[in-house]
Amino acid sequence: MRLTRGRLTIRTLQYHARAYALVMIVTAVAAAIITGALFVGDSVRGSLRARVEDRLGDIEFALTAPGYFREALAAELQASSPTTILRSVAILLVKGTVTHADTGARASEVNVLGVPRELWGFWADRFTFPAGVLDSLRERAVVINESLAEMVGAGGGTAILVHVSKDSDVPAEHALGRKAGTVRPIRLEVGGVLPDHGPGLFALESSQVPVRNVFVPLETLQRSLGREGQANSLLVSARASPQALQTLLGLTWKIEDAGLRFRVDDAIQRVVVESRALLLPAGVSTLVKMAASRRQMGASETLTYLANTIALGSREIPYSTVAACDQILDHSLQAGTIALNQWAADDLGARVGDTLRLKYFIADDDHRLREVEAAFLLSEIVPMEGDTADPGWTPEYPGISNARSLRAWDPPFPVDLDRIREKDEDYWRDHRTTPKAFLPIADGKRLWASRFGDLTSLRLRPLWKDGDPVSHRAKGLDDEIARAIKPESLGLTFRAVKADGLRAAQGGTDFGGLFVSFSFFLIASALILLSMVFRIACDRRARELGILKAVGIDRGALSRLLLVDGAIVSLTGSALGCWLALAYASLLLLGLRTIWRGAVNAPFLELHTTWGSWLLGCGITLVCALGAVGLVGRRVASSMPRSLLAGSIPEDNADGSSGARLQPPGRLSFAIAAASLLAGFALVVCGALGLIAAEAGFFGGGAAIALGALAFFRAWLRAPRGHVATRPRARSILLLGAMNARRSPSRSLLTTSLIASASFVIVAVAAIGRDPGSLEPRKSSGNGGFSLIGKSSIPITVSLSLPEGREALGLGPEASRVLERARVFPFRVRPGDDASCLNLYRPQSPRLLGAPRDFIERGGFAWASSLHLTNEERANPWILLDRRFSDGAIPAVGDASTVQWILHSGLSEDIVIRGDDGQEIRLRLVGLLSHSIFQGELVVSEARMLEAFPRISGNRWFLFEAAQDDAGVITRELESGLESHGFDVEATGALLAGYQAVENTYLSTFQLLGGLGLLLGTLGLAAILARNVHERRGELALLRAVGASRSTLARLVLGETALLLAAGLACGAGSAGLAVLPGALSRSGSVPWAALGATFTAIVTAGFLASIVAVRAALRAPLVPALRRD
Amino acid sequence: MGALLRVTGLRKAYKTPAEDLVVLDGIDLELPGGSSLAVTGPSGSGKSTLLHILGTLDKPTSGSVELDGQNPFGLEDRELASFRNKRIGFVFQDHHLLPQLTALENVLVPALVGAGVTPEAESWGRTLLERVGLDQRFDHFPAELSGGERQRVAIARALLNRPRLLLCDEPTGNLDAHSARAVRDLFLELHREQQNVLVVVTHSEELANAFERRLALRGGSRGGV
Repeated sequence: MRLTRGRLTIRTLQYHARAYALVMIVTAVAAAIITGALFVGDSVRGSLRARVEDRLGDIEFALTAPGYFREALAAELQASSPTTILRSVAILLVKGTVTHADTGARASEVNVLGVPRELWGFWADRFTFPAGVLDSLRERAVVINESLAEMVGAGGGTAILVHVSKDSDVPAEHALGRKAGTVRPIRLEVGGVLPDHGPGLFALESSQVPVRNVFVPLETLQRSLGREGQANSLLVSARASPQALQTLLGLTWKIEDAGLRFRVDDAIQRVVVESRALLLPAGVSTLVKMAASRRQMGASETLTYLANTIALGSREIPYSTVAACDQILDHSLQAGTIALNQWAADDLGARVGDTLRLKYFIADDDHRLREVEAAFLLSEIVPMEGDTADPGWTPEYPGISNARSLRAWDPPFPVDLDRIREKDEDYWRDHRTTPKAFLPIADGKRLWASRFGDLTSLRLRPLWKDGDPVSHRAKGLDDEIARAIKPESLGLTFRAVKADGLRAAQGGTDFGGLFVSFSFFLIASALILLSMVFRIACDRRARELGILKAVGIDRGALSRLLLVDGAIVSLTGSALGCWLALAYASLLLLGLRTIWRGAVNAPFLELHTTWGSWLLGCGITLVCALGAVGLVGRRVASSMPRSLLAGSIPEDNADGSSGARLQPPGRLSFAIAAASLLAGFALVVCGALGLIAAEAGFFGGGAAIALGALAFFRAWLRAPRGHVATRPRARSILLLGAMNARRSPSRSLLTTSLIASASFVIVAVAAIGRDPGSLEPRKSSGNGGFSLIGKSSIPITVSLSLPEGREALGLGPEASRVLERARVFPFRVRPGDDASCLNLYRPQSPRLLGAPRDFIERGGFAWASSLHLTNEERANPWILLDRRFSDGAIPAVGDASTVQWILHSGLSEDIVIRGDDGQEIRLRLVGLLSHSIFQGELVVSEARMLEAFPRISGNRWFLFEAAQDDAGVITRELESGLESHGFDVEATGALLAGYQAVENTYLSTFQLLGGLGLLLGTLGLAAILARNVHERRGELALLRAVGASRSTLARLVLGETALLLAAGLACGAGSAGLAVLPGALSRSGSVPWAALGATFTAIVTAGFLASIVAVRAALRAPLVPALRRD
Repeated sequence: MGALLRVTGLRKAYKTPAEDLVVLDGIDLELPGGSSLAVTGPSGSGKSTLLHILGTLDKPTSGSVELDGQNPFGLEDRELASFRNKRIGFVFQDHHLLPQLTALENVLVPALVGAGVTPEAESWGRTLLERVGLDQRFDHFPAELSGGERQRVAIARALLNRPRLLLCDEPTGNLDAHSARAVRDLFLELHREQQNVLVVVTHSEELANAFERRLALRGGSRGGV
């Protein structure tokens, strides 16, 4: 077979297999690290995706309504398109609290799910239910998941109390809404426990934190909530888009599903459309009117309210309904006037022209009811017949409409029973809720309209009388109205929960990239080691390469030949390394599940890989390896043939002249080194004095000092050698050893630089770890001066700051005492995804907090940046939340870290979310907080939140500004007193510590991997020493031949080791230590000196062990061949 | 006849921290084709340095070298490599055979790095190996050959491209007397056949006496040709 370059390559690799095997192994290590890090990213994403599939089963779409719809809607929807909709199940899904009936152990933020048996079909093919669990779900027996069972200490047969809010349809914050006393405990028994996967993990939100679920038979929960036959969530598996499902829903649903009532009264020829929520939703009245006009029916707007008093002089009528309308007896009322029915007029002795007073309640911002008064001129007295005798003017109101008497009322507002007269009870008996007075609709809206709506009903009537009952004309009108209303306009919007979850599983943090950056020093060390071992392999071939040059191979061809050799070895190493990467990734994942658990809180992480990562990891390794090999090859190929034939590759000089050096360093080199040192010290001092940002001072200054120190070291390596022979013997041998570092300045500098940079980072990272747990509440800090955060599972619609609010919640005197002294700031919550670093999933729709006015005016917190324009805005950027943008964007404030790293956004940028009606809402970031307690959410003003999300009622998030002594009492009193609401109190320091734990875990990961990189760097040191010893084997043999002892030779080699290690550590750790000294002195208890000491002890030990190996190799080498060779 | 090899004012000095170390100081030389030259002198006199410069393995500090009227040190790296490949052959004291290649493959290395190994080049390589008495050793690796046999392979390699200039640095230095004589006779014979310029550095008086001319170096300067 003819000799070709390929054959030469193969023969060379075979002959030098041992040397190249080392190159391959080191390349494999680099590939394992790089690819392994990428696999970590794959694993996090894959594990999160698997969790989405696990918790949702076959559920692809979900709809959670703000109100309730018919349970039968699910089956009707599926029947409307059975080939598209594979499964459709209606459930009840509410938030609640579970307590152990005996021990009182409590779990809040529990998903209380009222479910039919059909629900389990979504997991039929994916999950094997534990035997008997599903059968255990019966009337008063429930199934809970493992997380909940652990939290409350419950198992099969345990009695538990499930606290849920029995809300009425009327918004709690409406003046006529029920504000307190709605939370009911339901006593149930645990029938079985589902493990924390599959349906046990069911949740519609994306978070890796295990949810707490209690599955209740649907009928049981319906009964407990007074929602028989109703549901509030639909779960669907379908081959359709969300838009198609939405359209099907709009064609299928009935008017009742929209929360509307449709009453036909042939006696008075009226059709009444009203809302279960008391007030008609915005936009519905227009659609109803349009549908009515198509049937030749007119529509009258009505807003009926409850007047505490109708008074004329000293005569009063208590507790009467008053209807504002645009037509009474076919004519309109004038503004400012009032019409009384005959009964009321007689009771007051009123005559047309009299001025009547109405007193009624309104709800203010503190959730308090305030009685106000309005005066009207009596313009008309209407007979009580026909339309004006219709109790249907007033919408059905639970607790009032069906009461047998006035005294039997169960209203959500205070009633003075002493005011009720016998004649009032007679009126109630005969006429029920028939209005006693009528106002013009404009006046009614002015007095009683709210964000929830401005009409209580529409009264439809035929435009002309044709003798037909109105029921004929209105036949099918309810369905027509239902089809005209888009479900999404009322908040019934399908979400592609499976697709959203899988998208969120991409994660807010790229763990692959993160671990590649954590492994930077490990990778750098591996690549430097790779070039060293490749260089050693080339050294062994110096004479071969020399003869190739002598017979006429040019520099480029020789370089390519070496590159091909290196490429084949690197490719093999990369491929091997990618398999080793599985082990490295598994190790990292084990770390994430155990010692680094604080960073991810995801014990379910499993190894996943993708072809992309395989190829990328191999590719990056190959490119880096080829780069390292190519650089070495080029240098080798540039050497003069003569020096190669002599058996060595010259270090610094292309002309291969031995013993000669490049120009010694001039004054300029020393000047630059000195300038760098001075600049570094200056930056550190400026940072310590606060003249510049601390991080800039530290990192910039430290780096400059390290570079200056390395520059000095470089200059020393290249300086002319002094005379060592005249110095005392012991020092001379060590010095001689140290001087050997100058034989190959670039090699020594490379190793020293790697040790310096790795140790710099390790010290720096240890020093910048924060410890916010010790931070006292301070207004200008991340805690804003607040000591406690309170969170409630069930909204609280009374004020904790007011005695009547605390009384309504049943809080005791101790709670009242401490809360009276504290300042409490209640926030609205629009539920969404946790946007903090504690959530691995990428937030699709961040949680929103609505900040009350007094919080905005108070100010405080540490700010990273804001869009302030005025001095007032600069002093208190919170007031930017009131800014109005012409495009309708809502100003929002977020934490800088969250915005940058999780939401991938920035100041003045918009974050787009969907409103309850599916419309796009733009949140514009006007301020960024620094290391704040708001890392999990975005903050908007309460006013703007209620404009965009009017249905949000009550507060679920509270900040407490209290004395330290009161903090414990507040916590105890509220957690016990509001146990049924699932109220949890947490110290702001603990919250920040939780966030910081993530950052500190990342830092410790970086440190650990950086330390491993440093350790690998010491292997590089060992490689250098071994090579140096090999190069000097003749010299060492000569020393032995003339009588040098083993210990002398050992000191010779150790001298060089000590110098390189000491130089590296001094330049790196020393400069970092100097830079962080000011900060470290102020928090000496929190710098992990012990861990740092242990790390560097390990490094130094490894370095000296490497030296010992090299020394032993030198002493073992046969004397004569080494002498003869040279 | 014009000089095939012309050296004028050749000087080689190395920089040291103290002062320049002059190894060659103003060497002049002219050799026509077919001539042979023995370079002698004590250790450190610059013999090997002169050989390396003539072979373009090292660069002079000053002065010029012309082979076939061309100054190789004015060429780019690739042209210089090609020049060396086609016109210069080397035989070293330490044979410098590639241990991973057979005897025949080692002979063919100059062709490999040049235009490639053609059938003609392979045939000529076999002829050269036969010529040096190694026709039974084509497929043997250097580790399987004696010192003398390895040196003969090196000679055959040096002659593969029919070089105009053949340089030998202590070619018999590592051989016993018998092998040394055999190798000496061999390349003198081949030199006569190919009519190249043969320059040999040697300590051996016996070998030096076999050459037409002698250049004695003392302290970097010529002592006489």
